[in-house]
Amino acid sequence: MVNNSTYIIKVHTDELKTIKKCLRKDPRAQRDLYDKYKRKWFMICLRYAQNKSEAEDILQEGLISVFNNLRQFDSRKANFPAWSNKVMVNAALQHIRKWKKLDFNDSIDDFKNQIPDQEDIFDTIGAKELTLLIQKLPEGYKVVFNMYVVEGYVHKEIAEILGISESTSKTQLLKAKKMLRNQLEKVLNY
Amino acid sequence: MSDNLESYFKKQLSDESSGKDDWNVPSDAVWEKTLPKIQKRKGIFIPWRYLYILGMALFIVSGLLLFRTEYFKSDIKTSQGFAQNNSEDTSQNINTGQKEKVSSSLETIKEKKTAKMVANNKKPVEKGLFQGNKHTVKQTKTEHLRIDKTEREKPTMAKKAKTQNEALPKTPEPFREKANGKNIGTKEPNTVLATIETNETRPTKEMIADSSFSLASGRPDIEPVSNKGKLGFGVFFLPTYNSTYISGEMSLGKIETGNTYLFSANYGFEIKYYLTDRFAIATGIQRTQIKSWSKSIMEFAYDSSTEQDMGNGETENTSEIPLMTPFGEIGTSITYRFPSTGNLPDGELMESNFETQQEILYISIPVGIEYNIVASRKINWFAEGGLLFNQSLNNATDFSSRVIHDGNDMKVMGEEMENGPDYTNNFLSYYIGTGINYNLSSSFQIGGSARYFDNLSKLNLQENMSTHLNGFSLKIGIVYFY
Repeated sequence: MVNNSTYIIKVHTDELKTIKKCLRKDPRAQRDLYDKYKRKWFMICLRYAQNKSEAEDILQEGLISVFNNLRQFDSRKANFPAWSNKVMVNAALQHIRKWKKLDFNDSIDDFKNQIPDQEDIFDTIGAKELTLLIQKLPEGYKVVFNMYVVEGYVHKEIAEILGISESTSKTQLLKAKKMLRNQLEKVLNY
Repeated sequence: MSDNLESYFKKQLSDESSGKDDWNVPSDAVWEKTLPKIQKRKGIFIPWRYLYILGMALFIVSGLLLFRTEYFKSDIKTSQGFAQNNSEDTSQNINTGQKEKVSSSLETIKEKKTAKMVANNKKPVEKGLFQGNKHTVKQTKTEHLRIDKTEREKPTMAKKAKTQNEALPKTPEPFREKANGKNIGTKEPNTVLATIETNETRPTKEMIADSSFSLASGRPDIEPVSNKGKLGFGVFFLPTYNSTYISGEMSLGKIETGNTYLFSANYGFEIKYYLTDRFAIATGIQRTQIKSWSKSIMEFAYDSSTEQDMGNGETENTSEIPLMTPFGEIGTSITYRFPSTGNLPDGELMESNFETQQEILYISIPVGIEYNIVASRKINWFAEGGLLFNQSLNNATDFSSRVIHDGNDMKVMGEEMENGPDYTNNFLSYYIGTGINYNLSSSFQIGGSARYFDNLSKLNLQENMSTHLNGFSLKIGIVYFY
């Protein structure tokens, strides 16, 4: 049975009202929506970027996409967080395609060389530390890992979006997980 | 290990708390740079319902314009005397020494041109009169005419021409304007100036008041259609946008929703009786469909005592979750599945998204009045208002749900509605509107009106909650009068 006392009634129409105001380019509503989701959006960007500065660039591109394509959001088909997260992921992928080489043949050795000193990172393992760890993954591993594990895409979708085969997507994920596991084990045994 | 790694990362990364250093908070510069780029408008955004309102406004305005035209048509009676009076005015104001010559020349040329039109066709005269009506110039306007020397040197010819045309009826002034000296030769600079008072010098009111104006050919006066005492039967189409929203306190907290306008195509049968030419009562029967749509997000604590291991690596659970709809609160029972590796602990916060669609069909009996604010021969602009008694016929409530944990959708296996919305079987509403009626003949009338409606009596029987209904409709119909 559901414990009634823990129910929190949120009427979605409040958010819809804000979105409708955003469609009318109401700056206050735009700011409200940004303030509500900025952490969630920025965390997505951080996972695809290599540092905070790059993540801010991605966030800016993503925000422009979210607000300028708000008319395409259909509240009957999806909720706003899910829709906007997808837009952010797309913005991140576009950024990577534009500015970086998406190489799906990176070796583990490349990664090892990029791993920062664990002693600095893993004082406590939280979202921040894991994000830093993901940031240091080779681009191909990082993208597939983020899309599959965090965003919840399946390999078929990843393959279609990135223009690779499903098996490449699976291999990239396995390699990414192997790298991350090794690093985590080191830290946990430390 | 890999599954644990995935869930570990997923769980840790869903934590949005930023800690001490705000590591996941972007700098203010991001928003400052973004704002100018999202403020740029890409074209004009017009939501569909504003287009609908715009359409109604255009409908009313075009009706008024049409009415205005008809109003003048029916009020102006034509007579020959009007033309005669004006022709005298014209000749009296020639102020040169060659008054007679000029007068005769002008008369000849003007009458040559107008005679054909007047004798053969009624319409140009009417059209000309309208041109006159449009002018409301109060000050005297003079027009300088250049008279060709050749014309002046041939008074005999002019006189002859005048004589030939004496038998022709005098024409209304506008055609005199058309025919006057503008086309007379301007070859020589040494011309005689003649000042002629034109038709524009007569105020419109005077022209309309001069009711003796008519065609020489004797066009019969048109009598306005009188509707007094007429009983009519008709049908109408009623495209409607309605909104339902609820406010009050449901079992788990306060609730208030916003307006969402939805379209429904309604229609009906109408009986109309004109008590006077201006005042009519109307009743009938009509189909009224009320639609509602809502989306709500509820959070609930997970209860592991009811979960079942399905043996295929999935766990199933059922939660009873109240669903808020614009027509009241509904109890639901949602069954969902998730991977057994998920291990949801008791009290884990879950999210449920509901989307509800309701369609309630009513049969309505309207009782209303219609008052012609402005009435003309064919078109009436009216205001209307009345009450609608609505009796429900059937209810169709449908909903879909999503159960979400940590941003992941769970597999929803079953959705049941424990009870339906607790709404009244009948309710009273009112409508007000304005529109245009057009009398096609003494028997047929077509019309359209834009209406606003709202509920008067309670729609929802649940305590502390009230459902509000309002909307806009466009009535388009035809009535046959006996």
